[in-house]
Amino acid sequence: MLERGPLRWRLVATGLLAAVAAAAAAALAAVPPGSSGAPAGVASGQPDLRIVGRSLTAVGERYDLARDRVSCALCHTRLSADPFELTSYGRDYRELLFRDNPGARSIFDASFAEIRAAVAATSRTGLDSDGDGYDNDLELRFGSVPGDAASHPSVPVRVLERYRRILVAGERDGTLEELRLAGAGRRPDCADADGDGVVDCLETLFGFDPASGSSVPAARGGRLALYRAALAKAGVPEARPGG
Amino acid sequence: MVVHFPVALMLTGLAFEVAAVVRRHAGLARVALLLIALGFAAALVAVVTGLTNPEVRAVQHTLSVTPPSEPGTRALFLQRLERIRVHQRLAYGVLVTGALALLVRLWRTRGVLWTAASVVSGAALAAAVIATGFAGGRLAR
Repeated sequence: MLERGPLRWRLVATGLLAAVAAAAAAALAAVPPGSSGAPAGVASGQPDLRIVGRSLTAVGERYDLARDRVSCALCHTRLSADPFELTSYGRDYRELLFRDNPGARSIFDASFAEIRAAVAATSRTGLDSDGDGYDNDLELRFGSVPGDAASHPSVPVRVLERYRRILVAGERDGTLEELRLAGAGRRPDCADADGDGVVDCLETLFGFDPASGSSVPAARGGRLALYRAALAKAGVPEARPGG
Repeated sequence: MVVHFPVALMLTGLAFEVAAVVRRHAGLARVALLLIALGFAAALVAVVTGLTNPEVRAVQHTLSVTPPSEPGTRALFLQRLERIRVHQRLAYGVLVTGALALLVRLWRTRGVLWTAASVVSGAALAAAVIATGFAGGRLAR
């Protein structure tokens, strides 16, 4: 019987239990005290873009994304509880980063230049992380989420690819920079029916719903206005004012 | 998932103990003690698996290489580490309260003091197990 075993057995069990209790109490006292010191909003489901790391900064810089319309959710599926769960885009980015930097044990071992290179590699033409038919570069350039198959513009892929060819040519020959200096990145004279910060003519041109505040491109409105001007200059009829 | 065993065994053991008192059934009391003892052994295994979890080292390494210029990223990992530590403290608490509860049950005889010790140690063990399970669940979410 467990409760009324021989005295020797109970003494042995007592010694073992006392040893475990003492060791656990000592270990408990040895756990370092501490506080996360997390700023308000961090890990509470409302990530604050002022404090996020270099990877999102690199993507944002490359595509001129609006700070209030992109978040860690671009790469992470469970930001609050587990920073290690990734979207399909995040997985591709991580794989390319570690492939090119095999000595890195963590993303924080990589330099900002290496992070920028991995972001560029993840945006190489044709790589479509979420498999929605719009490659990562196309999605980020026009403001949808490359790790979410449900997020893509309503404009057909071939139309956006044509836009991209014009824009890439414009970046190379300096047309975009000329247009920017001429003020083409200013807010166009159109209404913003849904009040989401991006005017209707830009949302319509790049395949977002101008009547829905939840359908909004992640790219800055100024960047899209510049694209619209470059496309209009190249003769794309939909990009002309009133087109 | 070894962590489920101490929660299930200890709480079921304590429930059996209550049932044994209510029904004045010696067999139920023996089963209760056996379940608590098995739960305690499972808790020891769970603590060892927790201490050897590679995520803890990964979080600590990430913190060590995250530059101070990225306070937000550091804060995210610090918060994760703090949650791990809360769970760790509570798990040690389960071992301490579990060992005390078993000691009381090994040596108790009839008497008001032993009855009070049984009730207090059982309640403390139940509270520690539930709190540890809750903290562990927050880590897994």
